Amino acid sequence: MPRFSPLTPALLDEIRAAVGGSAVLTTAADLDAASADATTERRRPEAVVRPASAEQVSALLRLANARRFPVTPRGTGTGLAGGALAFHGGVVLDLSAMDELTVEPANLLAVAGPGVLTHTLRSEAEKHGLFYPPDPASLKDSTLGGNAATNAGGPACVKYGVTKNYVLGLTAVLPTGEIVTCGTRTRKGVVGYDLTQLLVGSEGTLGVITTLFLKLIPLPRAVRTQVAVFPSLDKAVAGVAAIMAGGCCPSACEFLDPRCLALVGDLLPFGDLPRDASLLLLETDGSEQAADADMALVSEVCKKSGALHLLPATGPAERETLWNVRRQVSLRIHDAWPVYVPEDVVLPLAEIAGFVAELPRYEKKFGFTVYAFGHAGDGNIHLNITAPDRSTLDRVEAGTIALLKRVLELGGTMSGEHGIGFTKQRFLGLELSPASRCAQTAIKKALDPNGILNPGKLFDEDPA
Amino acid sequence: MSLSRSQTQTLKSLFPGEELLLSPEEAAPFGADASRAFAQPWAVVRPRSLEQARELLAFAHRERIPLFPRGRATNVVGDCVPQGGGIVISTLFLDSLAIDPEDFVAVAGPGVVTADLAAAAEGRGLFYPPDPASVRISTIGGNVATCAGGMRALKYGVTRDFVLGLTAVLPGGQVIRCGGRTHKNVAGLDLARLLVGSEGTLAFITEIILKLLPKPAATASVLAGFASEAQALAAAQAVFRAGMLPAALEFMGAEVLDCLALLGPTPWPRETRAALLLRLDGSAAALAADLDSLAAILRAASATHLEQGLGADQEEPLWEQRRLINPASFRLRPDKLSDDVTVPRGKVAAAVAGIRQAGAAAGLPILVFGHIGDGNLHVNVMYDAAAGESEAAQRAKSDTLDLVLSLGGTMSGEHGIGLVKAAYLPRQIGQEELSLMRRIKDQFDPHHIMNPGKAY
Repeated sequence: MPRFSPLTPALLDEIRAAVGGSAVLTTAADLDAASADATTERRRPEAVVRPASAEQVSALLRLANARRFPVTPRGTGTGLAGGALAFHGGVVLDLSAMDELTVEPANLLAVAGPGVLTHTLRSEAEKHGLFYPPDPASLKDSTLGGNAATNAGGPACVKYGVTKNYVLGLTAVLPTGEIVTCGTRTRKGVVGYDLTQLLVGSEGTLGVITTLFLKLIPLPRAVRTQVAVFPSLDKAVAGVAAIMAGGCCPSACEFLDPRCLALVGDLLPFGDLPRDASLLLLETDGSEQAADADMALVSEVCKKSGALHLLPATGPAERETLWNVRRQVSLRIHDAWPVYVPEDVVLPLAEIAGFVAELPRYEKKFGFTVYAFGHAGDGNIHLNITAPDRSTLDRVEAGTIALLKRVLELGGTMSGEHGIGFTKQRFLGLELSPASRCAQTAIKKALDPNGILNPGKLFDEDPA
Repeated sequence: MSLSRSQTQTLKSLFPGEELLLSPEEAAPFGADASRAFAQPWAVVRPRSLEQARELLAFAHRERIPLFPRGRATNVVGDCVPQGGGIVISTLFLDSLAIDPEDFVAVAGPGVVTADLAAAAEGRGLFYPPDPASVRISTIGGNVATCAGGMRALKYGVTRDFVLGLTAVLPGGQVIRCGGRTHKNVAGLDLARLLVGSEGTLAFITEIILKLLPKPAATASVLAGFASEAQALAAAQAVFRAGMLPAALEFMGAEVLDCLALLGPTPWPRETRAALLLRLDGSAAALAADLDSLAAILRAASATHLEQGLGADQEEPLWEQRRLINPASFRLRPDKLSDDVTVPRGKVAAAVAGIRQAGAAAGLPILVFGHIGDGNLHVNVMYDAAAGESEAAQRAKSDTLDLVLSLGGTMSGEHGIGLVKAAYLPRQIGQEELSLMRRIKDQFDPHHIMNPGKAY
C-alpha cells in the first residue's frame, strides 16, 4: 500500500471545505512557485495551501492525518537543505501570508507570525530602540518561521546567540491538528517540558509554528567595524582567540580563508597580498565608549598577533562596503563554479585553523576546490565545495563524506545553521548514535504517528 | 514497599563501599530538600561512572523501581524528595571538571558545584554567567535539570543558553549524547534542550558540556532609591531605552525596604519607597564612562538616592542589603511561602500592586523583590503557622498565581514545579499541552521510574 494518498479531486474538495476555497492554490504557476528552494532540487506539490490563521492550519493537518496526505511547511524557500520541498507531493503549506507583527516595547517582546521577514522584525524593533540580533545571511528574504524551524544563526551569534536564544514561546499546530502554546511571553519560564526548544530547529517535522514570542534586547547605540588581514589563517584564528582571551566578545567575527580572500581581493585597497593571507571582519558594539574601547583592544591584539593591514570603517557607508566584501564571496563562488555544494560544519574553536590547513589534501585526493569562510568566533565554517562540471559528482560526494567524517572526528558537527533537511540526511548516521536517533524518532512518532508532516526529511529516509 | 533481597544484592554488586547507603539512618539525609518535605529513601547510590549509571537505569527500568536524581538538594519545590519511596541517585561522585580555554567550553560531571565551575573558568580568564542564588551550594546537574536562572540572566540568558551538549542515560540504560563541544549545532532534534528543565523526569544526566564566554574585564554597580515604585519601574525602562543592557537589575519594593530597616540602618533615606540595584560589565576603559551615563539616566528618572561603585571592593557593600532580605524576612513572621513568578516586563507594576492586594486581603505581609529586568519576581508570603495563618498564606499564594497567569506570566521562572506546584500546573498548562508532555514522557520513560510524582 502506498504510504500517502494522492490529492484526488474529491480530496481537494475536502481540503477546500476544511480551509476555505480561496486558501487552496492549484494553478501551474502556484505549484511551480512552491517547488523550489535555495538548493538545486525541484519537487512539485499537488496543491498549495496559504492559510491566514492557526485554525486553518489545524483543519488542514487534521484532514491530512485522517486522509494520509503529506504536508510540507514553507516560508519563502531560502533553505539550503531542501527542508521546504515536497518530496512526497501532497500539500505545500505556504505560511508567508501569516505575517502579523507586533512589537511590545514595554515587554521587550515581539509577537510575530511565521511569515514575517527577519529583516522586517529587525527594522520594526529598531524603531523602538530595540534589537533582534539573529542575522542569517538570508535575513532580507527569509521568514522568522523558517529561521525558528531551522534555528538560524548569523554573524551576530558569536556575541548574541542563535535564534533559539530568542524564542521565548510559540504557538504551533501538531501533526494531529491540536493547537498548542508552549513557553511564555516572559523572559524566564521553567513550567513544563521545553517544547518550545524542541520545536525550534525541528525543521518543520514536529509541528507548524503559527505564532512566535521573541525576546528583544535594547539596541546597542554604537557599532564599530574593522577588517584585519593576517599573513595566514592560523595567525588570524590565533588573533580571534587572543581577542576573546582579552575579555572582549566581538559582535561579529567573520573570516575568509586565503582562497576566498583572493576571490575578492580586488574589492580591498591592499594591493598584492601574500599567498596565504587571510581576512577577519570584526565588529564591536555597545555604548559609544564601550564600542570604541573594545575596538581599540581588537586593533591592539590584531597588531600583536601579526596583522599585516587594519582597515577600520569610518561610518555606516564604509561599514556596508566592508560587509559587501564578505557577501561577494558567496556570489562569486556561485558564479564561477557549475557544481557548488554548501556545507556548514562547526568545529571546536581550537580546531578551525588546523582543519582548514588540511583542506588541500582533500582537494588533491577528490579533485574539487574548497572555499572556506564563516564565523570564526563560534567555529562555524561554511565549506563551499566546488567542481568544474557534473561529471565529477561522485568524487565530490565521496570527498564531502570524507570531510564530514573528519569534522566529526575533531568533535564537530555537520551543520551549524542550514539543518539536515533532505540534502544531508544520508550523512546523519555519521553523527548521531543509534540511541540518539531512536530517542528522536520516538518523539517524532509520538507527535506524528502517521508521518504526514514534512516527510522525507531528517530521520525519515523513506525514498520519495 | 521496599527493595527485595535480590534487588539489594544487585545494588551491592553495582555500587561497592561508600557508593551505596542502605541503612535508614545513612539514607535519611537524602530524603529531604530545601522544600523541607521529606520521604525515606529505600537506598542511596552514588555512581562514579557512566557505566554504573547505565546498569542502574537498565536494572530499575526492568524492575520498575523509582529513581530520584539528586545533587545538593537546594531545590525549593521538592524535586529531590523521594516521595513514595525508591532509590536516590546522588550525582556528587560524578564531579569531574575540565575547562578548555581554547574551545571556550567546560566539561563537567553533574555533581560539580556551580560556583566551583565558575571559579575554575575564571581562573582561565573565562566566564560562566548563570548565577542562581544557590550558586555556592547547588550543582551544575541540578541547575541543568531545573534550568536555573539568576541575576545575570537579564544580559546573558539562563542555564539552557549555555548547555552545548550532554550525555544522559535513559530508563532502560541507553546512553544518548546530544550536542557537543561546538558552539552551534542544528543536526537533529535538540534533545539536550528537552532534558534541560525536565526536573529529572526524563533521563539521568552524567556529563554536561557548557559554553563559556570571555570574562568581562570590569564590573560596576549602582544603588538607586526612589520616592515611589512607579518611579523605580519607569527608571528601569529608561535604562533599556537608552540602549543599556545591565548584567543585573534588581528591584526591592516598599515592604522589603521597611523589612530591611528592622535589621538595622539602611543606606537610603527614610522617604525611599523603592530601590533598584544595577550592575554593568565590560571593558575597563569604557566602564567608568558607562557608569556615569547610567547614573545620569537614573537621576533624570528622579532617583532620590544614588550610590555607585567601580570594581568588586566598591560594589559589594551596595549589594549587601539585597543579601539581607532573606534573614530580615523572618523578623516579620517565622514562616514563609516563596514563589518565583515571572510576568511580561511591562506588567511588573500591575503584578506588584496586585500582589500587595492579595497580601492585604489575607492580612499577611508579602515581600516582592527580584530580577525585574526579566520580570522575574520573588514573592515571599510571610506567615505564622503556629498562629493559624497557614490557610490565609495558601490563599495569598493561590491569588498571586492566578494574578500572574492573568497578566500573561508564568508561575515559575526559576524554581520549577516539583511536588510543591504540581497541583497548580493545570492553571497554566492546557490539556493539549499536558497531553503532549505526557506523550514525550512516555517515550522516554514508559514505566515512569524517573522522579515519579514530580512535574508532568
